[in-house]
Amino acid sequence: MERESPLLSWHRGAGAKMVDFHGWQMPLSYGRISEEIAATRGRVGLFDLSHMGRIQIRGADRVAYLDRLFTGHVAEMQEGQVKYGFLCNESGGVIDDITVYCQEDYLLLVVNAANLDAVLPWLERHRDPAESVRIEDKTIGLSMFAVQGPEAIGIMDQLSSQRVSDLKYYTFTLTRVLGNLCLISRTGYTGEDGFEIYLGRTNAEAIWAALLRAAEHVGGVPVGLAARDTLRLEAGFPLHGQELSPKISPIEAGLEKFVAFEKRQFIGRSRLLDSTNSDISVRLVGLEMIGQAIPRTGYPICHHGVECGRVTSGGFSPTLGKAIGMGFVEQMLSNVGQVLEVRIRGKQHPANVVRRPFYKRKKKSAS
Amino acid sequence: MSHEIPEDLFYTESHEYLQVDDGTGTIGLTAYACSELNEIIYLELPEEAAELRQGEPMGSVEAVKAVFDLNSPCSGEVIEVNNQAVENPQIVIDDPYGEGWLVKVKIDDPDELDALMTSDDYEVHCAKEAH
Repeated sequence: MERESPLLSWHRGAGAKMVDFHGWQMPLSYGRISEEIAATRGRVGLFDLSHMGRIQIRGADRVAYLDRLFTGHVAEMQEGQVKYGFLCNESGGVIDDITVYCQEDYLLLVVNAANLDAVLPWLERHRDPAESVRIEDKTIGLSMFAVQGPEAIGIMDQLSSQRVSDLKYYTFTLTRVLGNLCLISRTGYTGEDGFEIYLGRTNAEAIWAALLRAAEHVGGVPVGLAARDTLRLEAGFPLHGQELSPKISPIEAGLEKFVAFEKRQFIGRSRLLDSTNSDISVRLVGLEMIGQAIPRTGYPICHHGVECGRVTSGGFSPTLGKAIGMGFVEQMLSNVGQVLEVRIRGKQHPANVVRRPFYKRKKKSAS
Repeated sequence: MSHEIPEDLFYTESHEYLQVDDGTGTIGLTAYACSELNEIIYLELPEEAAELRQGEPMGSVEAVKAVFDLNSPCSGEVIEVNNQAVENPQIVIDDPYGEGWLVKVKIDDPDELDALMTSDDYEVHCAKEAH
């Protein structure tokens, strides 16, 4: 079957501006991007993430197998737990950043749409024929939505047969929504509290409609990929292809906490370990522009006028009212408070190195 | 999706329009470009008395997700800048052919207009770009 969201005609009917996203026609925006961002930050946003790759790994040896490839500790995972980490190559570069879901009789891997066609052969190549491991691409058969924002809890509690507000961050449960069995996890890519929902393709449109009704009731809206990218930038999350790549290691990207060095062996381990013990040349930094000039992907980052790196992601943050970006610079220039410049159409514009995330949600005080 | 393309204007490949009125040209962004931009964070426009050259950069438009260079559809001196659009760029999106114009110029050479597209040509150009 083709790579086509079950909501394709719904998106078109809603007047979304569509974009080809790695072979998927997905909504870029439905209306004003800043309104979709504000709705997610203040109320709730609904995302169709059917383009993300979903892979099930089954078989008795699945845990030992994935522990050889994944930077996180799979054997330590409990049923119902989700873990973020990397599939690295031998040089420690990132083939993909993924989440792993530990279910009773399988592992679910959620991978970037752009990388599904690289990850599947990588997984196959490292399978030992003597092992009992089956790799199944479920991308088409399973759909995926996200419900993100302060109102997400209320909506999901109302629609699921089980109180999902009891779920801890990075855990999941199987429960029913409108009578259909769904996997619901407390995860997301926006910096807000929220959930991701995995469900059978055939029920997708009905469940989307119910989610949307509930969301609109509290001022929520559907959100496209343009706003999603700005939300993740504000939250300081990396995007593979920009802050991570087969040539960029998780250490350079400042994500060493997702690398379980205590595991004796996984692909890329020795190179990653070496790099933590040596002065690596570059580090990912957050940049906040001092003026209104907006840094964009690929713009040179300079120090006293001399190029020292490139912007990997950048844009205007409607939430902060500031222009922000990320990029790799020499380690000695990566400290918070360092003043750098971004060269924009021939002119140097000053920027401060700041802590990420740029945006941090206010946690509700315990009541 | 179709966007308004008035018949009495001239168009560039980079989505500026030129309205000609007795030697004075009004430059703006087309409705198609505005839809692509989604919303404008700020505009950089040339100053009054600046000399524009046809096809050369005259400013830029910063949107949430991207930046677009503005190229002048004709050569000539800038005689007026729409400061209202600079202060409130949303009017460019809301009313690109009306209140959301960008600059007015004194057109140097009317023969240059031959290099611009008619509304029919521009419609074909947008259709091609969308695919």
